Amino acid sequence: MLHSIAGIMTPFLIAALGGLYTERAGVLNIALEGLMLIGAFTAAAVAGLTGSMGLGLFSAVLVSGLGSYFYATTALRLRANIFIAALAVNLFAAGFTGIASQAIFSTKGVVRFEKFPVLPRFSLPLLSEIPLLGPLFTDQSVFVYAGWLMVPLFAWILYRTPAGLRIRAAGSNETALVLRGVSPRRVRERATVISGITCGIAGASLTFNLGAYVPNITSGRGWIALVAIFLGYKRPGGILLVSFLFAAAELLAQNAQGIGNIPASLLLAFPFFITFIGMVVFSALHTSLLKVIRKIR
Amino acid sequence: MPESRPVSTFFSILVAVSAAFLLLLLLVPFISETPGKTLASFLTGPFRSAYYLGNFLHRAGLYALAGLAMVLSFQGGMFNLGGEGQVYTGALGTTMVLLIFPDLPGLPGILIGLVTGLLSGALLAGISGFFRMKWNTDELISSFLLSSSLVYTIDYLVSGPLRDSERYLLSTPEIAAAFRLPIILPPSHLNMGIILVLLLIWGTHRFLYHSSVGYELRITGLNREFAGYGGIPVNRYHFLPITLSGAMYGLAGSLYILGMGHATVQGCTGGMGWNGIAIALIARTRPFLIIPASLVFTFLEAGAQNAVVHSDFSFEFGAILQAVVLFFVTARFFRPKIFKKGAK
Repeated sequence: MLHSIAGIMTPFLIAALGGLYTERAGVLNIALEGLMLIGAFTAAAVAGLTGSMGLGLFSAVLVSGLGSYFYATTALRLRANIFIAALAVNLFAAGFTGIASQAIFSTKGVVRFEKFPVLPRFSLPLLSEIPLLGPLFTDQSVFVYAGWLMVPLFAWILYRTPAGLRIRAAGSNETALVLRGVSPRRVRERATVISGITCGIAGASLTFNLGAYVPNITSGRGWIALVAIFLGYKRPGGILLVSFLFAAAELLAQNAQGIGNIPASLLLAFPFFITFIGMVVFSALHTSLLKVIRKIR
Repeated sequence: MPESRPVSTFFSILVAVSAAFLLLLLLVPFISETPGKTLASFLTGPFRSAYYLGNFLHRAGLYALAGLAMVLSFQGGMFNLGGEGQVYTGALGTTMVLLIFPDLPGLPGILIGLVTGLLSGALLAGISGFFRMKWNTDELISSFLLSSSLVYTIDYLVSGPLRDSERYLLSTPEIAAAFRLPIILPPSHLNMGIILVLLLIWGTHRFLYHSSVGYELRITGLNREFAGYGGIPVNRYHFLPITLSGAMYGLAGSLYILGMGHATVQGCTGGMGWNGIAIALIARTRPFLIIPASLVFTFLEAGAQNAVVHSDFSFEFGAILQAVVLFFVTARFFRPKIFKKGAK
């Protein structure tokens, strides 16, 4: 149970951590989904053709990172509406991966590779023996452990380094940055590139986990990551918790399929729906909590 | 959201449209074996015959309605990203109600179909609006999530429980012939629906610029705080724009079914939600500018479809075309003279 949850949550966790930086820098990055999809496709194409997982991951990060750089600089410098530009990225990714898949593999459908690298899985010595939490560290892929490590790393950068301070200031107090001679726009561009990089990793983790490329492999995970940022109170720890809950809900749905005979095609709707419900419940709780606090005061 | 800076505005629309056009021109030689011919058919496509012209205008009419939906949403300062699901739901709602009551007389049946489509779209968008009003749930994300879950649900319904097993397509049964909108330009699909679209464009203009509710909606969209100080019940306008927008999207789905589709086929209205956003932005969210904007966009799209008619890329090219337009359409290529702090 816990073992599978860790696997399911990793892509949204990693994508959300990068998205957190853009969010804290004052840009709502709805392009996560598209950037992840581009990363997943690049990872599949490069790793499938070369047989090297490292090269696949590297190029996924490179392409998603460059993509986000292009999108952020163009949108921010031309002062375009950032949501609309991000929407364009998502639509572009959906169209582009289809055409590229046809051009490279002559199919728009599922692509399987003969020499696709197998994702190594291993257990961490001491941690896997912890009662209850052990399965989280047993027989997991590299990406799962990378996800665990990234949470404290990203939190440390955000709260304890000058770079993190700038990111937070770009979102909360732009004037302070300008007075310090730092361009808020540059900070936002860099934050967006970081989110592009994490989306590349997240996308690659999806393909490597599956060992094949499926069209629209992300199927809403970028959006789930975006919602996880909000529901996690824009904090790395909160994001970890929310990703865990969403993954648990998804696992539950997958199991329900076996019991309740729910058709697979309907299951595609489930992540979107559960994320929607999660979002509404959260905002309801949040609003009533604010009311209570106001009353006490 | 829209700010009038006429020269820059015009320029960025020009860049967006010509970038999309250029992209198409560049792609033609790669896809087509007879680039010259493809290119010619791309440029003259809609004007080859009454049939092509009629279909072109019909499609532009549906897109204009989708664009109008986004005009209402943008003017109220709200982001409705759920168009895809709202159009699809409107289409299914219309189809279902007319399948359940196949014996209705023609005109009342059509009216009931239209109202059902309108209400289904409005309901779907209204849910996001209601939660925004009540608990401040971000409507941009919630409308997208809700709409996506509905798109997959309808895909399932159409391929499973509601499927007409006698048809080759993944589709519901067809509605009765009495409910089909009369065709204006046979043999094309251009039908009476286009008149409704033109009326709605005029109506939206009257509503936004000549009614007090429309005025309040626009002021709230421009500046919520100012509107609040002016005594406008701001919270209501967290609900109204997106619900009206959903109603228009639903109506677009409905018109598609009554005028052309006659049955909900899997993915039949795909792309209309995103097109609405592109068209509303090209039109700079002005109701009357929707007419040229939808014509230009439909022309580009028809060109793309034409260019790839022998390959199976219509969805991908549609998406890339939308992406290119959306990417440049809000850009500002001229810097304003005075740097405004806090501007988007």
